[in-house]
Amino acid sequence: MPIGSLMTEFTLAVAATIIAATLAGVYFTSLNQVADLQKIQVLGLKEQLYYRCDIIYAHSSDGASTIKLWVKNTGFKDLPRELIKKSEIMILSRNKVYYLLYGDSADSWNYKLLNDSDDDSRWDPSETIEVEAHLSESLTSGDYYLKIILFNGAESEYNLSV
Amino acid sequence: MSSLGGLIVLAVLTAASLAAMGYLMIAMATHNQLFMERIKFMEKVGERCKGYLEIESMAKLRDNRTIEAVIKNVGAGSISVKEFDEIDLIMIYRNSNGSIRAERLPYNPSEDLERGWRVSNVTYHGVEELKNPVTADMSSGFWDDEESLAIRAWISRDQDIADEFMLIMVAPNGVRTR
Repeated sequence: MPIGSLMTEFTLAVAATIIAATLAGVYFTSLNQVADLQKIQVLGLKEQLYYRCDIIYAHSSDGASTIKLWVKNTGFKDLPRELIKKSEIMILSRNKVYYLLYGDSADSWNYKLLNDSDDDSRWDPSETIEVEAHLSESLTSGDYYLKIILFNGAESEYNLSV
Repeated sequence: MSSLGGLIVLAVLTAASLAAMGYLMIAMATHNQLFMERIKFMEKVGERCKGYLEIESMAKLRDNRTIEAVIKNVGAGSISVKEFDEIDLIMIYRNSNGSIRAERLPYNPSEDLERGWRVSNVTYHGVEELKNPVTADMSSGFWDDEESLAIRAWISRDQDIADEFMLIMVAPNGVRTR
């Protein structure tokens, strides 16, 4: 066999291998991306399920400047004090919106653990906290929409009539 | 093409296809695992959301600060007596001043707190329960599906239930009274 023909075949074989490797690389990269996306979705789902809460009941009265909420941890993970404090509360009435962060002043909220049976100061699953939302002005008779939002964006809503 | 070139191409393609098949199998196994993980989470959520609690009866006693109620577990799953302190009982009532109050009462089987609630008994359709019976000292047992929990709840002495009142009970898994 002439050397020229051998060289041509060798070049063709190398070219075919490179093309096959490139195609395979693109295919595997796409597969990896799909797998990564699925992993991110599962992680997101986990976080949404791990940290959830439910407003059991809320109470206030005409002329009061505080709203009391009982909120249960309906997730699967406990929340340390630092994460509980990162929660936000929104209170909407017909003509006013309150956005409350954790604190001791007016227009803020604070909480106490009600049944911390293991005494670890963490908000364990199934445990309930009593939240007091302090407003800068007194509530007037009407309907209010309450929402508590946890650090991960999980939220619970409640309609309160005063 | 000569036999040498053909052999090289065949060998490379065979190796590449074997690697691809192996990779595909690993990828499918990973996808399957992630899918199963999702299903498990959804099952967990389903367990938390099922059933409800139903108040069968409730009555105020003459002291105007104690009530007795019977609450039925309708498909909410078995609740251990050890988890009773994680049950929320909220009493909403109007006092003699005319104001509406809401209190979350703590579980207090020994009745040594000024306000709280305790379990009187657990029955199944009016008769003694047979499945996972709750012991008299409340140390073991379950409040199972279709069983009714008789409770007694009391508020502090400086308050009174003037007339109407209502109860909200929430199980440890978040299932509540309807």
